[in-house]
Amino acid sequence: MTSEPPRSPDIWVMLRPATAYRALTLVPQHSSKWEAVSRPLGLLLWLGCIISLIATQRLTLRVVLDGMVNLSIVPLAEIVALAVVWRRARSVSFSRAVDLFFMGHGPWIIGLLGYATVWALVSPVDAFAWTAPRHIWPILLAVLVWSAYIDFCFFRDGLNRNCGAAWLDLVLERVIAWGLVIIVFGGAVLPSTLAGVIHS
Amino acid sequence: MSLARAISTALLVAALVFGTASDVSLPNPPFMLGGFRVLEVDFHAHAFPLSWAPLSPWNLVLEARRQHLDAIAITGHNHVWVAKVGRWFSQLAGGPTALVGEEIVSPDYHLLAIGISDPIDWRQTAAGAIDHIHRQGGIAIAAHPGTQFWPAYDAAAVSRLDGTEVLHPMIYAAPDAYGPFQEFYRRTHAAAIGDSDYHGIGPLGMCRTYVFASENSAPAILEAIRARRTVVWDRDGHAYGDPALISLTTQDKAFARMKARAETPDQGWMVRVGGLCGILGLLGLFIFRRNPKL
Repeated sequence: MTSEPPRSPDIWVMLRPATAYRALTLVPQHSSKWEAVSRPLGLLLWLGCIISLIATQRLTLRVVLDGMVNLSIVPLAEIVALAVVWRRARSVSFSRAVDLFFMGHGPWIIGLLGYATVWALVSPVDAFAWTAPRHIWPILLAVLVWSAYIDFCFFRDGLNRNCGAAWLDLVLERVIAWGLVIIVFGGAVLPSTLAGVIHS
Repeated sequence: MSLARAISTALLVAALVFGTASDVSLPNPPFMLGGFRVLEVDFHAHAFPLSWAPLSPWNLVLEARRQHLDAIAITGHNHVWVAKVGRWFSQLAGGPTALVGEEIVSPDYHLLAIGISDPIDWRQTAAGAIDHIHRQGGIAIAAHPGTQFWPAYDAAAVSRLDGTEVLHPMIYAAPDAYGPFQEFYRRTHAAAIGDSDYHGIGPLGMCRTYVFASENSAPAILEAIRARRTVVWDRDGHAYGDPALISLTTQDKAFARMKARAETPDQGWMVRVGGLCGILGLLGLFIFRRNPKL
C-alpha cells in the first residue's frame, strides 16, 4: 500500500470503513502500550469536553475533569468488550485492535459535537425545541446504523473475520459494552423498566 | 504537529481558559418578601451514577450555586445514597442546601420523595408510596404528570400530594405536554412546582420554584411546601401557586430582577467565544488527526 489516506485515519474510517480498515491493518505495528491508550484517552478528554458544553454551555475544568472521570466507563467498557471479542480472532495485537476500533467513533463524534454546539450557542429554550425527540431520533438512528456498519467493517476487515462472525462480534461487543454502560449510568431503574415492559 | 492541529489545540486550550475563568459563583444574598425568605429551589436534579446523569453529586451542588439556586433536591432513581453524598458535600462547601430525595420510578408513575432518609419502594401504588414518604417526614411531588401517569393518581393519591410539577423543560421540547401538567395541577390542591429534571442537559434550575420559607434550611423548605407557599413563573408570564404570593412577586421590582436573572442564560461574550473556540478545537482535532505512514 503506497497511497496516502485522503484525510485523517478517523475520517477515512468514517467515510470508507472497509477500504480504510483493510489498509490500516497493513501499517507496521509499533506494539507500544501507548498505542492502546492514546485514542481511548483522547475519547475521554473529548467526552469530558462535550459534557461540559452540554451541561454548562462552556468548557470549564470543573466539569471537564468530572465528566472524564465519570465517563471513563465508556472507553473501559468498550475495551473490555473488545477484549472478549478479540480473543476469538487474534489477527492483530490487542493494542493495535484497540487503536483501530477507537478510530471508528466518527459518527458519534460528529453527532454529539452537533448536539453540544446547539447547547453551547443557542438559548436553552430554543435548544430544548431544536433537540426535541422528534428531531433527535432520526439523527440518532442514522448514527447507530452508521456506527454499527463501521464496527462491522472493523471486525470483518480489521480482525479478518468472515461476515457471519463479524456480525456476531458486533452483537457481542454491543451487548457487553452498552450493557456495562447502561448498568453504571442508569442501572437503578432497570428492574422497574423491565417490570413495565413485561406488564405492557 | 501540523499547523492545523496546533491551531485546534490552541483553540481548545483557549476555550478551557475562557470557560474556567467564567465559571464563577456567589451565594445568593438573602431576599425577603412578605415576611418570608424567598428561596430559588430546583426539586428535581440527578447525579452520577445510576440516574442517567454525568455530573457527580458534588459538582451538582457547585453547579446549583453557579445557577443562583438556594437549594436543590438530588433525586436518584429509586435510591438515595447519591443524594446523601451531595448533602454531605453541600454541608462541607457551605451550601446551597441539598435535600435528600428520590425519584420513585414505577411503571405507572414518577413521584419525587423529598426530605426522606431511606429509599421508598417503587413496587406499590402512588398512594402507598406517598404514605411511606410522609411517614419518613418527607414531601411527595408528582413528577412531570403527563396523561400516561394519571391513572396511577387516584383520589387518595391526589388528595395526599404535597406538590406537582406544573413547569418542566419538557414543555419547551414538546409544547403539547404543558396542557396536561396545568390540568393535573388544577385537579390537585398541591403546591405548584417548577423543576428542571436535570440530567446534565441544559441549565440546572432552568425551571425553578420560588419557595417562601422562614429560612434556608431543609425543614423550613419542607414546611413551606406543606403550607403551599410557592410561586412558579413560566417564561410567557404565567404564574402558578399561592395567589397572594403571586401578587407580591408581581409588584416587587427586586423579585423581577431575580426572576430575569434566572431566565436569562449566563452567556456573556467570554462564554460564547469560549464555547465557539471549544467546538472548533474539538472538530479540528478530529479532522486533522495525523495520518499513519502507509
